[in-house]
Amino acid sequence: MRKILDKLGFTNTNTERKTVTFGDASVVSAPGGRGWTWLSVGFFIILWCLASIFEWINPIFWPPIGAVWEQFVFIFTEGYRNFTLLEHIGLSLYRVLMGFFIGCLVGIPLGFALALSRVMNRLFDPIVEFFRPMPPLALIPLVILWLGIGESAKIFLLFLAAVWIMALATRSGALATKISKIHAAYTLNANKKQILFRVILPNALPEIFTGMRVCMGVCWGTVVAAELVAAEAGVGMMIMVASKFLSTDIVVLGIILIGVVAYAIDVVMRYLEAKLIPWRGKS
Amino acid sequence: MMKFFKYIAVPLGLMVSANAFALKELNVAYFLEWPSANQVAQVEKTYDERMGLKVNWKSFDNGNQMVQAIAAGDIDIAYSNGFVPQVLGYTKGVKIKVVGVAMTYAENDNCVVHKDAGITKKNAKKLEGKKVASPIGNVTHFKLLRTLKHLGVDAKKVKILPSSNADASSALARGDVAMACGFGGSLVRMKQYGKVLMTGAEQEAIGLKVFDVVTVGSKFLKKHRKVVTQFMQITEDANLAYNRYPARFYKTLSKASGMKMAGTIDTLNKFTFLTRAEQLTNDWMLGGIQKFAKEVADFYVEQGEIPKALSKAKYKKMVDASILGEVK
Repeated sequence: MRKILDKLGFTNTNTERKTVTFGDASVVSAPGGRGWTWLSVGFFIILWCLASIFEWINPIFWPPIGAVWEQFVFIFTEGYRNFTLLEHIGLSLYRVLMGFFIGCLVGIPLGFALALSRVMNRLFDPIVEFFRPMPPLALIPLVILWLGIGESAKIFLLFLAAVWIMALATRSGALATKISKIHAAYTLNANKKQILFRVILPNALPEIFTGMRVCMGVCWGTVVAAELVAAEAGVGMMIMVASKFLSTDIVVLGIILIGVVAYAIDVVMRYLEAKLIPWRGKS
Repeated sequence: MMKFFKYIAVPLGLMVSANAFALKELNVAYFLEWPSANQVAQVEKTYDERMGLKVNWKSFDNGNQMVQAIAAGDIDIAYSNGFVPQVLGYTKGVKIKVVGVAMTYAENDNCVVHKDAGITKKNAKKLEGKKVASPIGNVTHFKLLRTLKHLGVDAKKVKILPSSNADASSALARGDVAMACGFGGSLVRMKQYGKVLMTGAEQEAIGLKVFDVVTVGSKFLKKHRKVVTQFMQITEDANLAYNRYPARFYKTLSKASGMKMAGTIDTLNKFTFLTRAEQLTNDWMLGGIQKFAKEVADFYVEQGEIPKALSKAKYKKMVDASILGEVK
């Protein structure tokens, strides 16, 4: 029985035997157990197929799976509104990555500043706390008036979505460094620079990575909204324009594409996390 | 099997109004910055009093969402729903009917060229390769495409940026686009930064009809014919009162639409509120609208925006003139 379950991917006797039965989080993220993934994904796909075959739902509200597939093939080969599908995805991806990158570039140093300098903390804390709970979408009207409808406005919105998350993640990561480690480094005659880069940064990295992953999710949410405003191309624009023509199949296609791309990015980030910070959770 | 959808949708909060069974409240969609004569009756609660219902007026900024809200069951009547969203929704299978014409407004919906762009209808071809901000899938969009076609401009080469009515005017104000298209209050603002490409009169001369309709969900119409008839009667009375002496209502309508006095008067002067008798003619409810609906749908198919249009007979069924027939 155990072997069959192993083969189907519901259990993985090899990794499970090595540890306690409950409470060791590293087992949960270890390979194996993919059977459950297929079960949940498969359930929804089969439900959708059944709903399509038996026409349970009016296609205006949720399209049949075949229609979405047809739209995918059509848009992939013919494009949508003068842009190919890859251009739409590429442009959204570019906006997300640019906003994310600039957000990290500003947010991570800001986070360290907040954690490590009293003056900086007092200077920037009110600003960060004021902007942090503010949804970037609420700022769209202002951003259009200031920066117009071009790329810079969209990237600025994504930057706003990313920067505060990164600042806070970095700060909490830096604060989590055990003071005993810093004392130890000082006794070994480390200077300030070494303390920052050799002690605090490695300790903060796991939290920074978590922040980055949260950030990516928020950025994808924001890019769709940013593209609702006068975008020539992009997955968000695809969804918005299709909704005006009640083409729910294209709307759903756009949603699935965003989900797949965002998931792919998350997989890459998890891989990088495992490669770059193998010490996570083992301090 | 729609029940299946309902049972999922209710917990998800998609359906807010569960009052369709015993009608105590009426949900009506309308546009902001779109002063119509019946808004006098709206703010003075004439509808509520004469129908004995609580009327909830919900503002929208585009007709596509009105149609979607009717499809979802949250809106019973859309007063001044754009004709193009109506046709697009109907073509896609939303069960909605036209029971009347709200107003005609060729001059209140237009495209404005930025004063620095140096483009007029004579050299409109220069628009190719330039950016134009416009709402999509509505009357404004239809007018834009038809105007471009008339002026010999390839719409595929124009960079049309889909944006809301208000965002289009911001883009023009900043000079981000060569031309912006919009309606109502936004159009008033756009005109501060340039001139219209073609006047409404010129557009009407090439066969463009520009009007909003009163849209009702088919199910609601079947169930609550009397309510709809009453609604149209009160609207008719308000239109007649306004047509007799418009200036008396400017102040009320300025407040109701959320526009400044000058803009309200300017917009109102470009509206025509057709009386019941004018609507029940071959130009409008008795043939004109049905014909125009087919034209709009075919044009959108030709432009590659929608896959297919319905038959002539289907568009005939989209209009129900019998309600207006009962209005006195």
